Amino acid sequence: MLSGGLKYALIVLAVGLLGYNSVYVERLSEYKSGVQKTLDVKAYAQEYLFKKVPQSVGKAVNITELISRVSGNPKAVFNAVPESRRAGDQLYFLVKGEAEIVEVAEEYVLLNSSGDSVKLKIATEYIFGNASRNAAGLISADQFDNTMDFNNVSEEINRLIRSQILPPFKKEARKGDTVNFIAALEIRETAPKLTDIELIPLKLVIKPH
Amino acid sequence: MKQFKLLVLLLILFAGCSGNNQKSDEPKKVAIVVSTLNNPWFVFLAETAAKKAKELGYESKIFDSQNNTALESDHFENALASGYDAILFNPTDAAGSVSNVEKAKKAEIPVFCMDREINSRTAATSQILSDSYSACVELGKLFVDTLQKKGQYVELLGIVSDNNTWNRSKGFHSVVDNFPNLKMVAQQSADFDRNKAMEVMESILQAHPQIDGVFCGNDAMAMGAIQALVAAGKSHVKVFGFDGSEDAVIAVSEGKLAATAMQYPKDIAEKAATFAHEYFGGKRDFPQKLPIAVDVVNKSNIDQFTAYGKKE
Repeated sequence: MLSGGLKYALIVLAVGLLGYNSVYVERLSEYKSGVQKTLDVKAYAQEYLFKKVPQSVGKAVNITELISRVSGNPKAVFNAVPESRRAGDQLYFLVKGEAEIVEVAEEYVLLNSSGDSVKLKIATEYIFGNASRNAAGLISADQFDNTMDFNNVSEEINRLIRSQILPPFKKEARKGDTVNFIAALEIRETAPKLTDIELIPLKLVIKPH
Repeated sequence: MKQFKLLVLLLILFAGCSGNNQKSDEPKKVAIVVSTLNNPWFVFLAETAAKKAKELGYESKIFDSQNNTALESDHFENALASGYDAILFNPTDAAGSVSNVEKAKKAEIPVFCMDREINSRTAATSQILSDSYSACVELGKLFVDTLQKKGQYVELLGIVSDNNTWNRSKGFHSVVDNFPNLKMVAQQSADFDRNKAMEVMESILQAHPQIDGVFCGNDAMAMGAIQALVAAGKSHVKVFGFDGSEDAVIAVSEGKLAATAMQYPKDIAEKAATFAHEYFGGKRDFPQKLPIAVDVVNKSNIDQFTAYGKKE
């Protein structure tokens, strides 16, 4: 014979267990986060290129220093690249530097690099792909419901570079001028090519000769 | 008697509450649900996932959705009812497959998407996806160089409800559309299907007999397009595919296909099976979308590749 107290304790336990397994509690903020509003790609790209990238200049690595480090111990450099700046074999770097223009060609501007064996170019014609988006490590695929939106961001950043950053630069750049730049660099981990480097410009400032 | 009934009730309650606990002695079961087994690339993906799951000590079964979301939904219900512990999933439809994955999530069964994406960043445990866009940017550059920046071309799209279709098309056009002397004369879907691509290409050639290039969203369609072009005496037309399937790799080496993009289904399938293994071990922090790099393959580097991957 169970005592009255024990009987009620068992009933309370039974009701508690039933209640615990009948109700599922989810944070509203987590639920809402699964619903993405229509993305304003143009505004997103503008904010990234003209505000967030210049603010990230402190995180950019000097291009000469990067070339030297990759030439010396590529594995150490590549292993330190976070997931936000890699896509499989492709590694992305935000680089900065200042160099003299030695040639203004149709598809690029050739810069005076420290090593004779390195051709350092700023691309002025072929601005494609994801380097401009991935270099700063600020935008991740996890922020988007689908990769099409993610890729649309790259296209819009590239379009802004072609339409707003390059026209004044191409108009003014002359051999002998010095250019100060922030740029995106893509390196293939398994086949790094450091003899002919083409940078995607994110910010360019000319200091006339 | 009352006390006995109360104890029985409590035992039932405890048994019911512990119903989700794993049967400790039995090996865990992994369901592999793929969009279609009518394409050798997906057969390879599914079989590799099954092989890896077996290596890790799990039972597995492959379910063919035949590119039909209703059938895919049945497979999910069967998998959940049959007590599968994880689902390695190649979806049929980026939007239409989300509800199936959500059903599994509600049942606390992890889902790892392979190759194809679903339009959600909360439903699946992780999505392992080829970087189709970047690869098609590279294919686009090669296309421009091969056609020397001028000529007429055709694009064959895959299944229009699949994000890979549009990521590939957009990557390609992000480059090619910058060259005004390259003119697209036709753009049609052939559903990633070889026979359909051949029929579509035959029909396009009636209206546009003078073309210089064809860009296809996968290798199966590229092979179908080549069949139609050869039959029409136009084997000089440059055809580009995507996938790195066995017949495409052979066609590149024989000069019949200008280029393809090598996805790595082995890496994708093994990563998905390994993620499931890690999930069973207690890991929960997986990347929601994990891009896998894709390599362009043409005559200049074909010696480095074999079907579905690089030479060992």
